[in-house]
Amino acid sequence: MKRVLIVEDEANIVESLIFLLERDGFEVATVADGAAALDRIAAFNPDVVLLDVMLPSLSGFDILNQLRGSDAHADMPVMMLTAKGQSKDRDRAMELGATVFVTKPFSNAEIVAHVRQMVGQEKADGG
Amino acid sequence: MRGSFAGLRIRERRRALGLSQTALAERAGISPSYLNLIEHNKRGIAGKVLLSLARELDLPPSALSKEAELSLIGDLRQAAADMPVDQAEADVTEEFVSRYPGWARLVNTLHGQVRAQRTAIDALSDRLTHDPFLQTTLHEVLTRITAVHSTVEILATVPDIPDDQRARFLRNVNDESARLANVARELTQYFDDAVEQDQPTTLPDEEVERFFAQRQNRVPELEAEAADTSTITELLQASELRGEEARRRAQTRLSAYLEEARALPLEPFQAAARKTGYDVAALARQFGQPIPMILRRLSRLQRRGGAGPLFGLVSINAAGHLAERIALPGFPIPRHGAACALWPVYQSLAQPGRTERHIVDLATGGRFITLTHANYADSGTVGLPGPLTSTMLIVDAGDAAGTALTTGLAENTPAVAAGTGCRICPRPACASRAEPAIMTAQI
Repeated sequence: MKRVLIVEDEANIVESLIFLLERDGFEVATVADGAAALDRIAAFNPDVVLLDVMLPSLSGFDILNQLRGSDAHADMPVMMLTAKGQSKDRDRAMELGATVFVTKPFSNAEIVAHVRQMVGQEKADGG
Repeated sequence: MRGSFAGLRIRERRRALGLSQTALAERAGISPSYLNLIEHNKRGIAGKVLLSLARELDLPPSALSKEAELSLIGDLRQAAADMPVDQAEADVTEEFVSRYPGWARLVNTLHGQVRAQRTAIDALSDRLTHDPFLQTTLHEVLTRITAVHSTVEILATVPDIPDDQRARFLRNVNDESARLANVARELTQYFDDAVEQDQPTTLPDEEVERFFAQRQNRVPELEAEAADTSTITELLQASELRGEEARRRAQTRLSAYLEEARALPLEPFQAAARKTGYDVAALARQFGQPIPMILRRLSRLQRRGGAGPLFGLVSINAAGHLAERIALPGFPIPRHGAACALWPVYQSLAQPGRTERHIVDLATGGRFITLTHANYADSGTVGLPGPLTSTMLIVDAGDAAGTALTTGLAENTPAVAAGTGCRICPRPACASRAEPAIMTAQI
């Protein structure tokens, strides 16, 4: 089963994403605090990370930067989720190595399609 | 060129009233030949003649006063410089003001309003872009809508949601809706408060300038012996100053005025100024006050019976911002933007503590004497300088003749060939030109 880690501090958004991705066959874990995200990534070893930008204590940009600087997670697929849709934020995310940049409000189908694409499958295979 | 507008206006007004030169001269108590000279700008008018001609022509005296007219001409040239795309015939500004003073004032007023509105738009744009409250609120709105949108999409499109999950989703939507409603209320309140603040439509500097200009840069209330800070409070309360920032700036200037009035009481200072022939160094010694204060105080003196020099004054900060401007006929001071870089007030910044004297020939034809002095205020911190201010006193060379203002000034002293500002200065070959002029003809 492919693993998705959601790094997001908005509980109701997290609940929708968990429902959608688990229903699509992914194993989902969550973390709400930026500073705890790197440890959670190391422990959970996800196939995809959904990463919000505005997080308590450490921003999504900082987390992405550290991920790309580590040997273990330099190529890990990362989808940036942000309410900051300005082009400069998109540029910054892509410069730092984001795989996909999605602005809020997003559609559920868009999220699921991107996650499937990032794990290299049209449909999650359940294992 | 100075004083060349009243003549044309008198002639046109006289003709409009169906009066002959002889008839008007008789009523005004002057000779027809003298009136003829006035109408052809060969003689200036002031004092009793100005008042009697204005009375007979049924015009306010200010309509024939060159000071008001020169100020208006300067403002209109600035308006033309601000909007060069409109190709205003800036080289006939004097004629325009002379022939159509009402229209000229209207154009000037509209230009002022356009500038104020542009500034307000810039401020609002900055506010929308950088206001922390709006940034936070927008983020909050997007976050809440994302939660609602995602949840409702699931509820609407997924048929087999377990009951307990469906109940949680509905509760989530309810919570998020309530938060959105709160954000909407906060946003509404925010804009309501902004409207209630009754933002002024003119710039703070302009409000303060108007406050002092209406009083001809003199505040008799602060000249009284009993004047104190409560007098300033009363002046501000009774004033038409609307903006908080304008009131703050006016208070700063009025406080400085009060300090000067206490240190250099008007009557003894005026008497000493006359006695010394306006010798600023002697006045500084006599009153034990710094030169810049003497310069500012001189600019408050009024002519008595048409005698004595009339002074203008400019003071700038280290960045060249015009902090105070007291206009002098024939020496226009730009209301906005940079003045001529050749003005000695700028050179003075490089020589704090020295009082310098210059002859300045303006492109408009006048010759002036300037006295400049730059000084640092105390910062109160060792190792850090306080604000640097440069002050320039301006006097017509004709007025200064025979006084200490010109004593020792050799006839062959080179004059500074200056202007008002590059965009309205017709000196094409000036080495200090920073931008093209909008006029090529001689002003």
